[in-house]
Amino acid sequence: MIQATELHKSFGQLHAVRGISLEIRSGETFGLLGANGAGKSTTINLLAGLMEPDSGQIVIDGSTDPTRREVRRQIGIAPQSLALYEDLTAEENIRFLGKLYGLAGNKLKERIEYSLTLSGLAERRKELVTQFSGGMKRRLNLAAALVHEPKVLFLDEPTVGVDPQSRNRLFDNIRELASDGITILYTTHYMEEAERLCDRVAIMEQGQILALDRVDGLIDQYGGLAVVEAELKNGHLDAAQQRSSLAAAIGKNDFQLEANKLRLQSKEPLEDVARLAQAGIGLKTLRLERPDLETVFLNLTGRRLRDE
Amino acid sequence: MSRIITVAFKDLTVLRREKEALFWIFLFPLVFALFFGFLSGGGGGDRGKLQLAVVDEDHSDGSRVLLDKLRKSDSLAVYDESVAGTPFTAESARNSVRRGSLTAFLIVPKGYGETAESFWQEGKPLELGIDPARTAEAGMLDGVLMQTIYSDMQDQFTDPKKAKANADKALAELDKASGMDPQQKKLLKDFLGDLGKFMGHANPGAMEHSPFAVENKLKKVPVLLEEENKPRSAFEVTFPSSVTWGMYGCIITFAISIVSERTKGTLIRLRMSPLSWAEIVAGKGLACFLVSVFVAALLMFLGHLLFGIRVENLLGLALAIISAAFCYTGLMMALAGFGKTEKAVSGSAAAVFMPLAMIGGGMIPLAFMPAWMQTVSNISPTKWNIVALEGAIWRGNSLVEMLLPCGVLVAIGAAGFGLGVRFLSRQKV
Repeated sequence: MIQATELHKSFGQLHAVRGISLEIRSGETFGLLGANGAGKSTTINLLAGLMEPDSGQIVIDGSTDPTRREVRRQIGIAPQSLALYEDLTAEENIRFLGKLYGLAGNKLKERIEYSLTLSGLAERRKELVTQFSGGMKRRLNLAAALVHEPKVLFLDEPTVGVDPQSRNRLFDNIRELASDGITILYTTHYMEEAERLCDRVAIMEQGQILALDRVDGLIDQYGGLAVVEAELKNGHLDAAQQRSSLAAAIGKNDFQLEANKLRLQSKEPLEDVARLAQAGIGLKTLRLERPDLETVFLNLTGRRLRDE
Repeated sequence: MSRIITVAFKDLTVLRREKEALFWIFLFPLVFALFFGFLSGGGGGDRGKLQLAVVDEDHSDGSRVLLDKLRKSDSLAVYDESVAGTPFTAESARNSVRRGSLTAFLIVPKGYGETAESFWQEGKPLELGIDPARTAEAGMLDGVLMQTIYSDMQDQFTDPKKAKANADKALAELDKASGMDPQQKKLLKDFLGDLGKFMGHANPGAMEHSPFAVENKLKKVPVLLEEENKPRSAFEVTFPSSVTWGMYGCIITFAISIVSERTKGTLIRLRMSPLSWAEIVAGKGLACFLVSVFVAALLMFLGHLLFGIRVENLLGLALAIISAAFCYTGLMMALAGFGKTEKAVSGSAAAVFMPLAMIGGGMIPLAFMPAWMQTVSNISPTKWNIVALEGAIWRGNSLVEMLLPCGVLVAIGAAGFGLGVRFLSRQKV
């Protein structure tokens, strides 16, 4: 559905996008995960035709020019900044955008109804946007992107500044849209959003894609091993006996044991815990730490995403 | 076209809810027209005239004739009494001027009448005091008084009967006069005798063509095509000026609206829609144009309804309003193109358009400005806007004569459009 090849974009001395290539399949929810300033919004703007790349090629639904009217009709965008008219009501915002896309009559009414219902704002359609909470504005920002029934949806940090309730509602909306077959490009710097919503994720840093795969594929490749931490019950054994019984149970001896506290790294953490139980080694406490996108990001960039 | 109209009507809906913008576009110009209209005399009355306190200490026929002539002057409002209703004295008249209540005072001294028509006696001078702060009016008042005094002398020589009587009276007084140089006395007696004889034989209408008749020296001709074509009230001057302020409000409001589309992110939605850049700009321009036309038409209609402002040339007025609206729409585009933020737009507008409005006669009528300023005012769209509107409402300009101011307005608008579209299209989303 969307294909980008070797995209480059600079703003003066700043090389914002450095040779990005990606392919987003039809009906896929594709995540661009990266810290602020990684180049995610610039990438979306390039793909949406809002900016012209310095070099590289973009193909959307077979067309190499995203600024063509036929192509634009297929794209909906919810920009990071709330792109709404605050002095218009929710319905007036949607109606205005619908008319720009040539909708009229019953079709326009139907699409307004759909967009407002999906975003949970049907009851408050007559209220001015300026009276809405941040979460409601975000939902309307999404609804405004849907009025013309796009095949492709660009969502640029759609949950920034949103309360947990509205965030969950947005997640439900996005899942619903994905199940309707809409192709979604989703940028975020929240790894849990990428994990929960995206079929595939590209990790961006300094204008480049460092890794691109399904979430579990990324974790497998870049997440490293899971960590098992447990406090053992077998207090009557001495340290040497404990170490040898543990090694016998899990079949390896590259673990740490200090004052009954075990720490081991494993590709199969659950299986290792089961083996300990089978060997009769009792556990007082157990903590399992699986690698996630945060670990992947840390391993790829040397810093944590949350620190941004 | 429907997309352009959709953009324009969206902007109009937004404008309808912006109370501050509505104030500057609609209410402020109306308040301006009313305030300056009433300040300049409104629909009549004495407020637009030089206010002169007069003190008649002479109470002679001569002083009464002089004061009656002053009262008939279009430029003067003559007051014999103070606010308290008591006749002015020299002191109370001076105090009224000193306090700024009146512009000037004139004292007709005792004995003025006796000597006013004398051919040889030294007359008693009139005493004139003018508010030192009113320097602009001082020269005008001097002129009006000199004209009035001179017209007294003119009366003597254009009426043979009156002139003979005065000559005879002067001869009789001369006979009684003592201590005069005999040679000087003889010369005067010869002159007055000859003058009396001449006037005694002259036909009553003969002196109307004499060199003393001021009409023979100065003939007032109408500047306007018809005598009716002059402003009947100050409102016929202030309402055209107020239109320029309404359009100035439109410029700022819509230029800010364009910049806000960018700063608030809604421009992304417009750019992502099937709208072309030209359609976006045209939609914005159409909204500004429609509001400019509406505010101008509304102000002129209110002026007509409330203060009887005439429309001599309705087609010309429509042409003037449309040209001005186009001009200001173009300037709005240029302003939006130059300004990166809302603050920059309002700052630039104040820095550029306020002075242009001032020098163009938007605040003080061009007629009151020095010659060099009137020349400079040619660069101001305000001037051409006012010239076009006045041409249509009371100057009685023909459509051909309207072409110059309207053409200048259209040219300025086109230049503004060109610059604006060029700069706007270069800006990032």
